[in-house]
Amino acid sequence: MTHVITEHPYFGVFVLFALTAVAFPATLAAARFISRKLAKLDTEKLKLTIYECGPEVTKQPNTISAQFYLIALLFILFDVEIIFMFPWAIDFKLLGWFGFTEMILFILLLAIGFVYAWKKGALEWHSIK
Amino acid sequence: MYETIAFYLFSALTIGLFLITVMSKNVLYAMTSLAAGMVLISGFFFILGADFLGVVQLIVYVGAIMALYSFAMMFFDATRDIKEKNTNSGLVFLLGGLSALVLVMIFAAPIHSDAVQALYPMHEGVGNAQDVGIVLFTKYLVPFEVAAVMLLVAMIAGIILAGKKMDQSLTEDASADDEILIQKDAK
Amino acid sequence: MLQPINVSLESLNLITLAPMLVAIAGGLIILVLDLINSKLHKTLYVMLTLLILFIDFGAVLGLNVNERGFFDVMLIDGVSIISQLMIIVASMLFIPLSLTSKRFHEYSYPEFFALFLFMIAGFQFMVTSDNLILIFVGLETASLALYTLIALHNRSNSFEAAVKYFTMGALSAGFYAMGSAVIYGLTGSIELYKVAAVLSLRMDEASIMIAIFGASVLLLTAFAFKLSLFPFHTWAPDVYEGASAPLAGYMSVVPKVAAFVVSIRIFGMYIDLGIEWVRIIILVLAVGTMTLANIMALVQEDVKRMLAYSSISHAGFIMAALALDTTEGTTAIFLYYALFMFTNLGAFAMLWISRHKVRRFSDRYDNPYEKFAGLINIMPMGAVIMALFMLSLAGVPPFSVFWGKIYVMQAAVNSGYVWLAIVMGLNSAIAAYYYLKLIVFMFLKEPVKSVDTVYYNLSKPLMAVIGLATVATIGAIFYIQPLISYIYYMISASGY
Repeated sequence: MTHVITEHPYFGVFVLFALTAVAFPATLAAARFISRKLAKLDTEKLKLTIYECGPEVTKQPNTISAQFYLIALLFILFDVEIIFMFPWAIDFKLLGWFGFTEMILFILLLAIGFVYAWKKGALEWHSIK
Repeated sequence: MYETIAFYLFSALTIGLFLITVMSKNVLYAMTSLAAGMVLISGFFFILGADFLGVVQLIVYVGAIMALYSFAMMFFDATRDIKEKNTNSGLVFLLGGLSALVLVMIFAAPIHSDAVQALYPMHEGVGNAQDVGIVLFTKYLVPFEVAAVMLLVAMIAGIILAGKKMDQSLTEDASADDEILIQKDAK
Repeated sequence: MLQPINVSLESLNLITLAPMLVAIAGGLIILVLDLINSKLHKTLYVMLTLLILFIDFGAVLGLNVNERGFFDVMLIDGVSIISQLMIIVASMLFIPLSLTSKRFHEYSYPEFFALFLFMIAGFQFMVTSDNLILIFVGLETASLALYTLIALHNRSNSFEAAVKYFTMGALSAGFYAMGSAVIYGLTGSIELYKVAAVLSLRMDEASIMIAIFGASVLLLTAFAFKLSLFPFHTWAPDVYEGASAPLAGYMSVVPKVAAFVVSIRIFGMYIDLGIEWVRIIILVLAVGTMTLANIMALVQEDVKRMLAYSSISHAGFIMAALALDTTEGTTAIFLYYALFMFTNLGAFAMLWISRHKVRRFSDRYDNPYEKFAGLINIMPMGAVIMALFMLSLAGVPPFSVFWGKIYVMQAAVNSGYVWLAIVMGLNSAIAAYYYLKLIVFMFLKEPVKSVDTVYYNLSKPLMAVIGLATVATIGAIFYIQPLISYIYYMISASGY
């Protein structure tokens, strides 16, 4: 039985997971313990803020460009598109021309979206039309 | 045996991390633990032998969705603690717990009956992603292409709604007439 | 190992996909056209969209009844053909309403028309399948486009409307996905004809009943959101108010037709399997919807909100026909929408021609009743036409919606639900009050202000659409019989 378990392809991953489950919290606890001992104990709100190389972050300005969001959105869409390509690539020989046409259609649809995004300036900073 | 241990390990960790997501008043903690919980969920897929879905979980949820969340987080003031105003948290817990229980019952009921036959069973000695690919590119050809249209729609929608043209509203501009269509005898 | 896959084109039955391909290709053409030359006037896009819709219409007419294609994912039956035709006709009525004499924000985008065509393709996919995955993908494509079309009106309450609709839509999509997951867990299939076959063998197991209950409650909630049925209707008036008037009219017809088709497929299957409480839940929802929405409509101060509640109440009427699950009942659903479509779009188009850029009569509403006070003195023709639409919606013979109401009641009585017919009659009587209220305002009151231009937004294309809607409303008596027999033939051919 033991023999079968060690031969499973994910056995190594599992061991790593198990190790991390123990080692990671232990290291953290140790680090926490040591730093608590060494640190000046005052609770400052700024400690929890986002690090912005130097200047103090006091309050987030309310109007952050929607461009950030747009880029994240485009990233997700192309990400999802790429996921569909993995099974296609694996089955490429099995599916033959049929699968090839399908994938070309799929990519064509998204390529139009890509050209559209490009033309409208969605990929450039602050020049979206 | 090791599957059982892995299952309970992942379960405990996932529940713990998602509890932090729900309970934490700091949005940074909430988001980080959400990302970690998503990673651990992929572990369930790997245990079940659904390698492809596990990878999708990692790429889409941990990679893309979390990126979107973190961008969305920048719209808020992360330094401020949220003051919650749920006066009756006991009731919330009760109702949430009850609906969770009902959902578990609904989803568990079919398992309790005869074993369910998979419509597209796995082939022996073939990778999971390969099997998924065969079904996706034959049986589910049309939904696959419609998904491309859906992604295109989402892309266009996002781009025009975030565009500069939305800053000035023609709808509220009283002087915006259409010269071609204006009715000459409109009096 | 796996064998290489050979698929012959004949086995795919490509023709089943033709109508949607027309719509998608049209949307892509509009996008590319805009990328090549961004200076084109919107009339070109309107004409192009109309042309594409005509080709789409022809492609649907060319389909044979009861065919399957693409590995049985596509299903062309009578229901799907009728609903596609209705979706396209309503879209043809909607599109010319963008040719107003004032400019509104959404029509300055060519993408508006592209998204519109993608939305139609989404609805068409939704109605031509009994595969829950394709239904879901089609529904989401259409919904995403629709949210954007609402938000493109570009003023604060249309953003509010879009966000509200989006949130509700996302919630209902979640319920739908969970319901489908339970169905898959139950039967190992997400194709409804296979689901029905598996379920009919295993109806006597107790755990199956729990799961069926869960699945149908989840799915029913999802569609109750989409159809704005009673406990889940609260989004509808706000969304209709925030959307532009034509889009509000469109939303009260087309997405609901598509959602009704899917409901017929899913809940009709349950009722056919003899699960009686699904019928009871639907009846409760339907009666609650028509009664409550009617009472809410009584107290509205805004004509558009009143029309929103009235369309919720009409949806309740039609939901009751769904619960009957007879051929006559299913015919009634489509007949009612075919008639309601013209009248309701006409009424919303009347609001659209009187649309002002600033709210002149009230700080809160665009179309308060006072706006229409004494309309008979200012715009006699408009007042008469609006009154016609109101009478038709109230179910006064011989106008169009009357025939729909009579047919629904007849179907109810024929399947033994006399009390349902009585409830419907009572509700029509209540509804008459708020429709007549508008008529009283238009004919008997003095104008509030000395308003010179109530028909501010008028143009020839709008007049044409309203004229068409008026003719269809008045002339219902002439085409009602062939319409009924066509729909009845199509429905019975597809076995509902």
